Amino acid sequence: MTGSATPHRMRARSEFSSGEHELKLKPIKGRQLVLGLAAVLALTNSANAAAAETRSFVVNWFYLASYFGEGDCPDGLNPSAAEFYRRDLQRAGHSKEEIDAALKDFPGEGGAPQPWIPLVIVRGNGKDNIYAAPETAPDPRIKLVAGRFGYGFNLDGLGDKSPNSFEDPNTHERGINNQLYRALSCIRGFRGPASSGGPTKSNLDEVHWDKLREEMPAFVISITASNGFSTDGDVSIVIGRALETITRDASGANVQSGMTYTLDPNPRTRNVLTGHLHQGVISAASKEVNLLADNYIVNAFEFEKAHLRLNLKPDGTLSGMIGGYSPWYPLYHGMTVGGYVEEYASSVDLPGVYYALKKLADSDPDPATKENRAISAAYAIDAVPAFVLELGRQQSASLQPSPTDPKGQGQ
Amino acid sequence: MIPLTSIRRGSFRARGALAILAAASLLGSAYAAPDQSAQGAQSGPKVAARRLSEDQYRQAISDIFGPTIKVGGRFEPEIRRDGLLATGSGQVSVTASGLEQYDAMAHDIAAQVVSEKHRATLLPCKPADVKSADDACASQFLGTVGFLLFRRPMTNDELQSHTKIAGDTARSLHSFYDGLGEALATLIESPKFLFLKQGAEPDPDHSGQFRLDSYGKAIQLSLFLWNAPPDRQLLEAARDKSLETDHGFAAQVDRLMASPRLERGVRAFFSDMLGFDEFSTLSKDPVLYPKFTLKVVEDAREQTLRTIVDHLLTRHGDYRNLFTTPNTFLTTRLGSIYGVPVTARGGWPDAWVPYTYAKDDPRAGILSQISFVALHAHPGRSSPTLRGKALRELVLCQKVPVPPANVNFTLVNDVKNSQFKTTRDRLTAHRTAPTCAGCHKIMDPIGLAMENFDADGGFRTTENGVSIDTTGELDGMKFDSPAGLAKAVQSDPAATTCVLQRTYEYALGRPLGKGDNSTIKALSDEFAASGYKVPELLRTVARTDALYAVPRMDLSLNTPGAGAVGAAAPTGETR
Repeated sequence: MTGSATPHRMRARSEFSSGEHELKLKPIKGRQLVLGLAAVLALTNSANAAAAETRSFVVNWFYLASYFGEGDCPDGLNPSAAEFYRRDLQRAGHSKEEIDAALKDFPGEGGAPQPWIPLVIVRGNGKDNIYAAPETAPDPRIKLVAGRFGYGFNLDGLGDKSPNSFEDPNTHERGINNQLYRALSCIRGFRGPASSGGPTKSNLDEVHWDKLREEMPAFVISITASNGFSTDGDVSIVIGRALETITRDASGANVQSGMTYTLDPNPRTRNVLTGHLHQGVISAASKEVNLLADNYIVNAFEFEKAHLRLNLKPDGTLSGMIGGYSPWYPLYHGMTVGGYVEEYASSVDLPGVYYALKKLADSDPDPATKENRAISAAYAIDAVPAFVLELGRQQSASLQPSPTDPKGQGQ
Repeated sequence: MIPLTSIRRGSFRARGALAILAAASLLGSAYAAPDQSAQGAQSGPKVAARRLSEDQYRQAISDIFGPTIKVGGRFEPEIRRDGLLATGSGQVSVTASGLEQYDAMAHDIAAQVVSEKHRATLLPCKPADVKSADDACASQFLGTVGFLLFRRPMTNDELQSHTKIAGDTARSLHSFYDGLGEALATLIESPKFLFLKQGAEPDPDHSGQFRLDSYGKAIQLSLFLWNAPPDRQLLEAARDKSLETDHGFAAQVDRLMASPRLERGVRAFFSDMLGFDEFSTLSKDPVLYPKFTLKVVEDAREQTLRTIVDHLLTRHGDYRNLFTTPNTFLTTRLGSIYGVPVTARGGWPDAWVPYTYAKDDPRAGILSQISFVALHAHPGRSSPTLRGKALRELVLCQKVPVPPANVNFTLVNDVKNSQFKTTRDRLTAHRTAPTCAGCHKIMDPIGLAMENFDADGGFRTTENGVSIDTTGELDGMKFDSPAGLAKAVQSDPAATTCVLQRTYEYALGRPLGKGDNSTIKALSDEFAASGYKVPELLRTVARTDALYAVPRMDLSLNTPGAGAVGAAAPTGETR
């Protein structure tokens, strides 16, 4: 492995043409890392290759793009687990005495008796696991987001004529489709602090992602601007999964920047998009984007009619959103892995979630049943600079001095 | 000796006060007088006693009993004297709490050795009855390991007393192995193991003078080249006196030099010379330097040691080029701070990948590595002064005076000062105080050339939005970048003189004295003639007669803290 100093000159053989492009990368701006990504570079126009610039990132946070603000849940939040368990057990025919006995000292953590568990697991028909067979219980009609604002994308292209759509609280774009947010965000566990200037992560999203990113290979993004990032123009984006897992920084709360990742070449999780850079904001769309995750919590994040919007921030990090129509049942199934723990710890009424997702799904109708199988969704992305290399094309480059200096100390 | 017959079964691992008393008794007797009843051991006076360092202790246990024997516990702090921990090792004793720790470790190690898991492979015999004493078997084992632990054959008295401990304890606890473990523990916590005691004998080549005896010479040689007590082969050479012959001595030097353990010795020496013991307290403000994790601290130390071993041993490189070499090794974590991509097969974060900087890269040589620029910086900011001081003292062996007690650091610490935005600005203002200027002018012009390196070792070109000026000077040599400084150090004769001096002091276990001048001159000539190759330097030092000579004054010293040996030989001759 050898290093080079600025300006970097990297040689990358294109997958898509027979030519060999010698690429001169511009010095880094902000605290960003610049490196070659052969496949991405190959997408750029060879005539402009000399001006191409690539920035790569590893995803730090990935969470449901939620808006928490006045009027989002006008009827209040959904009941706590103790409340909906009592309601469901009552409906299932248990006597008040039985219910009182079961829920005495609820939830009974730390080794204390938890007599409620066997009851709530089969609270539909008394025998089947309710998480696997939520239809055994009637729809509890959980409260849904009914506010004006929400984050996401205008997926159906109908703009302000889109039914049940939101308005972006910051850009005031109308026709935002994000029914997943509508379904979940009046549930206590899916609440977070009041939004200010962008999507907010809920408590559960934070817990889920923090666990997920620890266990699965990292999500990485590599963006190549054909004319450099200081000029508006076309960009190509690779978003996918790496072969390596993340490394946490000294705080333990965030992903360490500057680490090196290798893109997983598996086409199931490697997505190439074309888009446009305008005043530091990158927009792109694709028929679909698939990101394999981890079987335990979320098997995959899948988006049909995918949209991507990313902001290159002055400190060198990246923030934005990815959205599209996601198959809703896998999302529900991911939550059922936690089962009653998810329910009692975060007040997630899983049968209620099942019915809400089914009801709010707004795309991909089943040919037989005509019921929609996908739901509009949007996830917020926060990412930090990283080196992202193609497998078998490991290259090296030297970090260049940072002209901007967020902490006043350089680097 | 404290009778141990009243000890209860299974309690020998943590017998606390009783064992400490026993050890203290051993300590007292060990330094009361020279051993008089040695059989084949040294018969002369003890002239030096260096305390085993933690690394040496661990290595000794591993060498004698195998790497599966775990050593846990806290070791006594080491003391740096005149630039080296090695020269401090002859100036330290054992505190009461340290004795407790040594006692606990000794019993833990002994318990492992005699455990069912290890006894079949580590013990040379089996007792006739596991529930009773077996003096013959115990004596066989204790004599064998005692030779290695004491670095000489045990005296009859020593062997008998330890065999008696094994027997008494076995009878009391109805367990041969518990008894043997107790006896072994007393060997391991003995000052005869914890202190590397070296004896002297009349020097037949220099009438009226003394030199180290064979076992003392073996210790001197092994500590120097391997950072470990002598192995069985070297001790056998001492016992059969072949170490006293030119041929036998040269053969042992060659063997030690050719061993893979030489790398361990080189690592230990440079860790000592470069002050790497400070890594144990190195940390950075996680808010300012989020990449600087504990793993980075570990990796940074290892990076420099790998670079040194690769350059000096593997590539057989010129010592001076250690300051400019573009070759190093990185992990993914170090790559994140250095700003270079590092991929390891399978994404293994602890994997080391060879890395070569481009010719025009601002980073090259060990002075640009985290082990120098971050180790000699503050938790929240860089420090040209600390870096300049470290370079003067560690790399050039020059003494920097201690700052006066009443220095006002307010301005230097004010990293957000709107008038003095860069460290250079603040230090320039600080130096206007006459009491500060004298010392700072010998440190700051060096350290300011490293200002491209932030406190965590990352690269930067600005501070508070102002471009960093990296011009500097080292004793008349001017430069304008870290690379320029590296070249200045590379060409500074003080750098080679320093490593030579430190090498010899490290081998001696004491700082240089006036009488060492002729030896240093001779070594210096040989070092230059070799092209400043460190392996040649090590071999030359190892074969220098003066390394094994005993100053006349040392004959009266017979206690811990007596320091080390190695008087100046009349000519500094080597063989």
